[in-house]
Amino acid sequence: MNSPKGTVFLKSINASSISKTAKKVFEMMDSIVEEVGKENVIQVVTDNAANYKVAGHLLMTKRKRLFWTPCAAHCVDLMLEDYEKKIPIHEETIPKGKKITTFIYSRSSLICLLQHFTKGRDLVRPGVTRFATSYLTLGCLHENKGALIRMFTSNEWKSSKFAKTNDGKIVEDVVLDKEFWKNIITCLKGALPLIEVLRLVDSDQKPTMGFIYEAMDQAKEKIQKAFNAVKKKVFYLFIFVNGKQKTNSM
Amino acid sequence: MVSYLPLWNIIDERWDKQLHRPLHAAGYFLNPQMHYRPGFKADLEVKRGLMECITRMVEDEDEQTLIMFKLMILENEQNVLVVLWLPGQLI
Repeated sequence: MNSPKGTVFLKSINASSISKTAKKVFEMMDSIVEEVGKENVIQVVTDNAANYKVAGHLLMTKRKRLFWTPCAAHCVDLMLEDYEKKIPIHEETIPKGKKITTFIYSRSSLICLLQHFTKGRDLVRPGVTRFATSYLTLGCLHENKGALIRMFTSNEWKSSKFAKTNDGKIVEDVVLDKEFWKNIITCLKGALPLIEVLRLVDSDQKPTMGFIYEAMDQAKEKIQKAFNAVKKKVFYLFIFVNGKQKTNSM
Repeated sequence: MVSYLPLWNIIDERWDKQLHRPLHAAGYFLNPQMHYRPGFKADLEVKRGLMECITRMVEDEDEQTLIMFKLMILENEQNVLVVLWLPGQLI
């Protein structure tokens, strides 16, 4: 339970036998509302699964004063999942990135070689949520782009036994593919603003209700700006070439 | 050219349709840190969210009207937001 005075733990219920049935979940939540006092409850937060959704709506129908809201962090994580599943560049780039990291991190001699080139830095960073982690990995790869290219063009790599394996060749091709690095940037432009929101809603520092609306709006704006930056360059060039010509076409 | 629109569509699909906006919108409106920010805008979505919260959380219709009326005056007068609302009592 969260209130302006702080957060308290009320109780835990083993709901494994009822969690699949919306009606029972609703009854459970409703009894908690009763216990806490219906005049004290403003919002009930659950995850976004179908059964909770139904239960949430049932609760809102019975308890006229409160709001049911799906967990914002879960919601944002699902957006990142949709990116990965529905946008071709993301769908293609994320597995390639994972291929690089799993290939290197499952072979200790390659970890040594990697750390030699990255000066000890790592390619994996645990994220707050599952799908955020995929993008943070891409971020690490991007930061270590130079080191990785140097590693896979080095004599140490070429003479290693892994360079001749099938997986080794695939990973080498990915690392030396310019398009791959370009695509990583495209993916990050879309994902990093959302990961910022995720960090905000996941923080325990302050209640975030008063900040989510603005944060989400700004994330969308940042994404738009990141993609339009390219357009602007073209626009300035156009002005330059055409001298004083005025245009508002872009 | 790669566009941001497919990304926006994904965000909107989850954000607008699945997350209930009223509380977030009201939180935005009533958070002084946001309210006095230069870029603050109380557009239709924000106002509608705020109204939805008021009508849902305050049973008494007269009281609802009073709150909205006060908000309106405060908005017009000097753009200072002072809403101190305790159940059954409007200051």
